[in-house]
Amino acid sequence: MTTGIALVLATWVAVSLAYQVFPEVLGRLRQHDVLGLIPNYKFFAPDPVTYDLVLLVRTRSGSGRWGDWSALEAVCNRRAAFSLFNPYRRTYKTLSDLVSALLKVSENHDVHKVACSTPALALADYVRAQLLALRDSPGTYEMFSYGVCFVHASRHENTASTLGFVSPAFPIRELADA
Amino acid sequence: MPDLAPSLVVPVSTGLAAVGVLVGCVEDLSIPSRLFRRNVYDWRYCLAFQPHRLRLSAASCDVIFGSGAFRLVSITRAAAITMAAVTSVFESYFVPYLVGSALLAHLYLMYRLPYSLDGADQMILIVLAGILVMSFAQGNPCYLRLGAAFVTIQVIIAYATASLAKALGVSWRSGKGPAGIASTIMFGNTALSRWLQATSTARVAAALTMLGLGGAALGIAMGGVVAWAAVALAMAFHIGVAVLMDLNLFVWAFGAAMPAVLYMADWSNRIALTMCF
Repeated sequence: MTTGIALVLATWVAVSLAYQVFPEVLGRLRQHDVLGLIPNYKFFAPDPVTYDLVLLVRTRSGSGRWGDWSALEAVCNRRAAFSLFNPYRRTYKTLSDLVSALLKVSENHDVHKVACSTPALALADYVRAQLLALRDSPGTYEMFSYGVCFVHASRHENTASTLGFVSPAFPIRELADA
Repeated sequence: MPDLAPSLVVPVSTGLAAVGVLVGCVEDLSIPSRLFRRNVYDWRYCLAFQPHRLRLSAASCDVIFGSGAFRLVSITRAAAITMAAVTSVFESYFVPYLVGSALLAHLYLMYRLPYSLDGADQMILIVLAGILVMSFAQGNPCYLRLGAAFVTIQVIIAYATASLAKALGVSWRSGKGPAGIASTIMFGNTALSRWLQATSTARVAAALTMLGLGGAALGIAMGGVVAWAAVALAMAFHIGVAVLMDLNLFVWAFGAAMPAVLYMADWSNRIALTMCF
């Protein structure tokens, strides 16, 4: 029994080590790792995240006129307590991973295929839910489009923004008056 | 040479893991419900990201319990590891089963979320697996050494990889990497960002990070008093990362691994491990 458990753990360690050293070779194996057993210990390396992710949205009214782009939600204002309890950690990581997946899909496919891809649709549903949750917009609008913006040096005066992706128009439910 | 008593390894590890899992559970519960229905946390999107639609997915908790299944499993995981932490103080018979339940719940969450996981979730998985093996030590002390060795080696690999990956990164060597991270709102800090604007300062900070992580890996591998110093350095690093970058769970995830690391810092335990086979 001891030997069996030792073999299992030794194999786990060996595969973990091998993936750190040969990520390209074992990358396919990690794609099938649905339980997340093979760790990635690179942690912000070799190319760390040096930008903030902002989702932009614009809406189209019934008359067919598109509004201006606006930030759906600014990157949250961090508080000192977040070092103990960070309620935005999971959601921001989700959006970040979806955007990374979206950019990966957009490398090899045309615009229409990218727009119909799972990450694009997931982000569209996220934006739709956020729009419906915002009750400060009067009236109704039929369609919306979202954009993914990368903001560099947010804490400096020389902030630079890059628009990474603009989605096609998606329908939205009518907003009911309160 | 300082020595960590074998009877403390499982209770302290489990306790620290329980704190991390509890904090993570509360964070999971704070995710708005609307994100689980036809949104980014909907199980259908998650399955679409998996390369294989396993038959198990048909029996997924979400199908049975609906969108609240994610929260239910998260609460189950937290409850199981907390009970394990409490009962491990008394070396209870139930500890392995409770840790096993927490591990299964964690594996389900790892399967359920093909995205949104981070390094803390990975390390909690490693620690739970290690604690599970260590919790059988009442019947056979070899299990304690086996589980502790597994966790220790994974921690060494983690720090060594983190150090080398940064050393191989052009942006880290030039100092632009840490300066760029510090300039973000999500992971940065205004005072640190101003301080790292000077290239020379950023390079020094990057070098210290790389050397610190590599030194921690080496120190833990060497064992003895050096390993204790390396653990102190590593925990100071994680606390600093939590304060500056709000990556709060890394403190608990890696902290829960340290009792095992300190236990294996004693070379007599390493030699005793070889006697188990």
